[in-house]
Amino acid sequence: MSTKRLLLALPVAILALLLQSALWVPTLASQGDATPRRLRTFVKAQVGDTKRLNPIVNSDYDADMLMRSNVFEGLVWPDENLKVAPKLADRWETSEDAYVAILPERRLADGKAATAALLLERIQDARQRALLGGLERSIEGMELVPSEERALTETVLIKNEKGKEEPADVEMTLRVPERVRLRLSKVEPDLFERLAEVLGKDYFAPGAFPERFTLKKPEQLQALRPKLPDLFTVGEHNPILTFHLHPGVRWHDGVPLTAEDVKFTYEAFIDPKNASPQAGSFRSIKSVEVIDELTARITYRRLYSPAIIDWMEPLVPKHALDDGALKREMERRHLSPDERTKLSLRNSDFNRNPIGTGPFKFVEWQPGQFIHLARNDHYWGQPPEYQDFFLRNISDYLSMELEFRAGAVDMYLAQPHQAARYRADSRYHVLPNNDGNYAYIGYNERLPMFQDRRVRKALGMAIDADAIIAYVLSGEGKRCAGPYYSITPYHDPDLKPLPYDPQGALSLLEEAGWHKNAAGKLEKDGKPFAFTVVTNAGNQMRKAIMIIAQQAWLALGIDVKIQDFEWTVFLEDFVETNHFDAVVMAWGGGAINPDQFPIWHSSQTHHYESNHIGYQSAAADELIMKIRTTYDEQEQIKLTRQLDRLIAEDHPYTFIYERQVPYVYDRRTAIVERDAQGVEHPKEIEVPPSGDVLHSFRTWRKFSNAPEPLR
Amino acid sequence: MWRYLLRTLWQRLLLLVFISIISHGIVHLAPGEPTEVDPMNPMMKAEDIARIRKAFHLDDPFYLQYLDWLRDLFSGNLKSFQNGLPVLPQIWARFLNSLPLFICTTLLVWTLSFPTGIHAAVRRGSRYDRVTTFLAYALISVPSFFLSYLLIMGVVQVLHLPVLGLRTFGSDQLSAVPRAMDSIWHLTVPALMSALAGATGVAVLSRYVRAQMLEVLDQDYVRTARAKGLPEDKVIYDHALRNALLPFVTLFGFLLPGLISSSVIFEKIFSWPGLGQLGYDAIIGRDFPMILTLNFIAAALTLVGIFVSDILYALVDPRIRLQ
Amino acid sequence: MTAHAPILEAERLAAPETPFQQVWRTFRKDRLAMAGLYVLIGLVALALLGKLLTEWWVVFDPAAVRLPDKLRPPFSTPSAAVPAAQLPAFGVYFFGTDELGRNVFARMLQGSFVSLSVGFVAVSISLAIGITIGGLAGFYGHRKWGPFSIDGLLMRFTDVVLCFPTFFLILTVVALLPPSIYNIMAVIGLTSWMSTARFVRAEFLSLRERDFVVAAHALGLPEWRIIFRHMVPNALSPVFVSASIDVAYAILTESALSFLGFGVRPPLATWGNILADGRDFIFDAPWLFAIPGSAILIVVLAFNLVGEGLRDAMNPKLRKRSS
Repeated sequence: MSTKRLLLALPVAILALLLQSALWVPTLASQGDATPRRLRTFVKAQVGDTKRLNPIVNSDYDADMLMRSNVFEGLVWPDENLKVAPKLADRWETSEDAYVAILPERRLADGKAATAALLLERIQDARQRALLGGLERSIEGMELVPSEERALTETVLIKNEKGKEEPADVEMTLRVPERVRLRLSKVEPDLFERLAEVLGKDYFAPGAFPERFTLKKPEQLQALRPKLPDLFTVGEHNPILTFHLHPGVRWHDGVPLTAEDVKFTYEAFIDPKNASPQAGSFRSIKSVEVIDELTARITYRRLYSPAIIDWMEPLVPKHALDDGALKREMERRHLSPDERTKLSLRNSDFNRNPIGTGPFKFVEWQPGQFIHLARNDHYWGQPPEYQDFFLRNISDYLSMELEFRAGAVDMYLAQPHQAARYRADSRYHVLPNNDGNYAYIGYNERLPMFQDRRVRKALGMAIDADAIIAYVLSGEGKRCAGPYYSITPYHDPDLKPLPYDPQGALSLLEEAGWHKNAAGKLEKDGKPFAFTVVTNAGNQMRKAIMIIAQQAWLALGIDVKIQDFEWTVFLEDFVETNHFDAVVMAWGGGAINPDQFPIWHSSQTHHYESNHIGYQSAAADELIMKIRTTYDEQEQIKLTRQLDRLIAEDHPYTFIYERQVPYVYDRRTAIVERDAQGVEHPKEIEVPPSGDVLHSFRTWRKFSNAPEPLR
Repeated sequence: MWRYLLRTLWQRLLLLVFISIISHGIVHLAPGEPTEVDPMNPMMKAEDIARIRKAFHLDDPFYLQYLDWLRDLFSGNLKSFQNGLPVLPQIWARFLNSLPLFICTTLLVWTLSFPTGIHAAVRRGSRYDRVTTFLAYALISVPSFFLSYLLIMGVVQVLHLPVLGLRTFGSDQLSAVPRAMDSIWHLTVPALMSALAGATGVAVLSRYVRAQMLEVLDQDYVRTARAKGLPEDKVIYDHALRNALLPFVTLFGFLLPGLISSSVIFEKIFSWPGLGQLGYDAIIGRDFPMILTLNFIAAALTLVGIFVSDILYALVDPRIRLQ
Repeated sequence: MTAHAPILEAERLAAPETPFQQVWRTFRKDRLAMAGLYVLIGLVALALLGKLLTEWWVVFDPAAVRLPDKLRPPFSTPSAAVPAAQLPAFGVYFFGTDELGRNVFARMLQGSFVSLSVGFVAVSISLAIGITIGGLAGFYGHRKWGPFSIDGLLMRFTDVVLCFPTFFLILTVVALLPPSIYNIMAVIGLTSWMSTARFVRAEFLSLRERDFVVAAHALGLPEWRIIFRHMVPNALSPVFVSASIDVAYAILTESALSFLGFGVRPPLATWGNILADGRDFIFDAPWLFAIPGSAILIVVLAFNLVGEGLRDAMNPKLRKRSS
């Protein structure tokens, strides 16, 4: 009898205990009642996990954005209009050091061999007689620099015995001859062209000069050869950026920020030991010098006009990460000798306890769950209204919505169909966050069928991008036609996207030699038009684009297959190794940058480089390089618009839309405005022209009541 | 007996090494690399990627990678590719998260299964038996995430209560009792779901209970007990049940590894930061050290479970001889 | 006369009915199992019809995208924006449309064939392996092969596979292999035979010690006769239960894989991936989730009920009692 009763009573008791707990749980409506602090806590959610909190070694975009806008800060940042604005640097100047090598084997215009005295005299003469087309006004001084031996290390890929490419550091000494240094008050990209008119047309002609290099391992010369012309040039531009830091800024641990930190940040980025994914941005820097406590001078190897943009990268504290700090960490953690050799910025404790200068301090990180930040009360600028800031990792959008409805998330980037629902609900607010991320279909131009521009255009014309935006994105997107983000001046406003015209597409294909066969399929020289589109699994938008494109192209008579692959497989086996026919993908993050070199330059078509589709255009190459070396803003804009038009015209991608991911939040979250008496008023949040909703984040807070709608 | 134990222990260890080598092979044959490499970053150069590969020893020969892993695992130096943190403390932390869910689920499963199963067996063919049979099969047949989302929909739409995660986010400032209750609520829904719709849930176990009871009720000694005039409840709950329990001993062996593998779905649905979720993320991110270590631990757990169940089985059933 | 009666009686009982007929006679009495059987027959017909109507003689085009008609509820009619060529058959969306305006009815039809074949193929693989290994180990287990016993070797091998956390292993392997439906079938089959093997072995081991087998040995009956005549029928009933659960398991695993993002890839619709995709629209278009979910539930349930019915019908002891 007792056994029977026990068997029955036990489950009933357990269930009762479990179910009654529902009565205690806080909900969205009641969240502020029990705990007022909840209103001063901001909870944002993102899909996916966070990896490292150190901006140097991070590659996780969302967590990185959280850290870099709240914990860390860069020297500059994009303002509301997506213009470069001061942050940790109050102001900055650009100037230039230009070097002219004295090469006796090169003849001057009158046939004389170049010597130091002769060069100095000619340049001085040209300066005085104003023969340099106005450039002479920028020259502030000049002097001879003695010849020197320069130790260089360059990383190249060398095939190992298994035929696999491995990175190898080539160590070498470069014998730099005596040179003339010209100190310029601003960057003068045309300097050597002007000087050539005085010194002789061929004086600055590029060359490899292999005899000037002594390699530690001479057998590496072959691999290095393509890089030689870059390592030594006759005329050398050294643009200089001088930053003046904001005085009185302190790291979260109280140590003052100095120019040493700028220098250290640069070193950390390029240190091969750290294997920073961002290292590429800093490769063109020659040196970073500390002029005084608050002044850092950055010298570039060559003309590179987007340089300032790279300094949006966050600064990291030298005192917490340099060799001395790492050594202290070794002692503190009692590391074994083996671990000591392995300890670097990659695995330092700093990555779990980062220190920045930003408005929020790091508190705690639970991998896979959340990052907790707390207000930095000693912030040098305007401190935020929120006391706590959580970034949660939630695995999918449905879960995010469930948590949002329960009040356990204050804001998240909603899927379009979710946003459409919230737009209709007065309790919530939906703001589109434009970040310049654009979706495209890329055609592998290595394949003969995609080499004809008419074919690519025809494929583009068959896709109803407006319908995709209207129905798949529920209107949360903007049509685009070229690579530049539409709100930047770099984008050509007159550029019209391709029309949706399946009939026109057919006739274009006809023109390109693709005819319908008896079965209604397109073929050329007896070969059917067939290819496969790939994309990554798990992205509903891309999958939809892929399916819609397939249907559109099937209707044209093209035999299209589609496949999606898990993200890492997709990258490794298809994209990075250029092993695909057509791909649905997106680019993001570079909205503010006029430089399109990595994506479109014909030198960037190898494995793991970003010109996956193998786009080759001499005209585009020239424009890209010109944009990089043009310092005049208006001139640069003219060039970028040309490039925008050129690429749109070539149609290497079918550009589909610029996304406008909608942020949804409880309407009670609002901007805090204080009147003269210090009384707080909630004001509805608005999107700045840059499209970055979070730009005004520091002035936000959650109120217990929603503000009166503005409209 | 002791010699037998030592020998099987030794065999199990050998097995474990075997398993770890095989799983190593599987993982390293996988296409795809750690997701450190960020394709959205156009500034990343081929050199950088090659360097990252090298830093992870991805180009070393297979046996070297295996030995490295083994050494790092036992010296506690094994680091995750994804976040650079040591693997074992991460697993331990997640294990502590999974444990309450596991215990709660197990408790629900076992306490619910026995009364329902026994009752169905005793009243074989009755309406109760037919209804529970049907319900059990319906529960076995329903995709667990389908049922879970139906329940979640109900809780969210009707009760407006949060259901995901370990606790309501932002509830840290609540006082102790409401906070504890909040945690229990967050435990209740997933535990209930995985007890009802899980692969080794109430439905399956109560079916086993019923089948075993039927088997036993048909045996001679039960008839003898009845013939002796013992009360029916005593016959069923003392004589029959005790003997019917025998095969359940083996089930313990299958219980332990469920901690990792059967939890993936439910932890995913309920955003429960446990071992299953950890494993899933590791697979998605090609976090080789993490995948291998989890696999290893799961295998070890299973072996321990089987070992224990073998011994228990031998102890309770004299017909099986330990040789 | 009276002396002959028992013999005649015995002959009359034994002679006219084949074992199949006996099973069928009992099975037919189980109403739930019969319902399941009808569902399955209907399903097989539907799957073939689906294959026919969506691929060979296209009446329903599961791939046709009609963006203006996205997320239409069941039994709605197409809007005016849809061109005549894309109108659904009979001018009605029986099951509504999905987020791209595709006809869910057509997709379910296409999916029925795919989902069914996943279940059948996977379980055939699993049963074939499980029975072979379990039977060999149970019967010939004591024989030696070199220094090892066959039972030891086979069971250690089973242990190796069993010690991999199954679902975790499936995930890893599916994530690693090129995504194809055949791989998913094979992986599910290859990772689910262990319990069958263990059941069969355990049953054989205990049968070997039972009196009637010992007696058969003592009588000098040939080995094959002992195995097939006396042991297999007695060992099969648990195998059939586990097989019925395995079909359920295979179809469910496919849907779980889809839920986790590792299922059958897009051009092909399965009930699992329609369900998994529908989850995202659970608040906007509940039918996208409810229809495939219920379909899976019904089919898997049918499999389970048929299996259950079969088990009862095949179990000689139970049959005797119920007739």
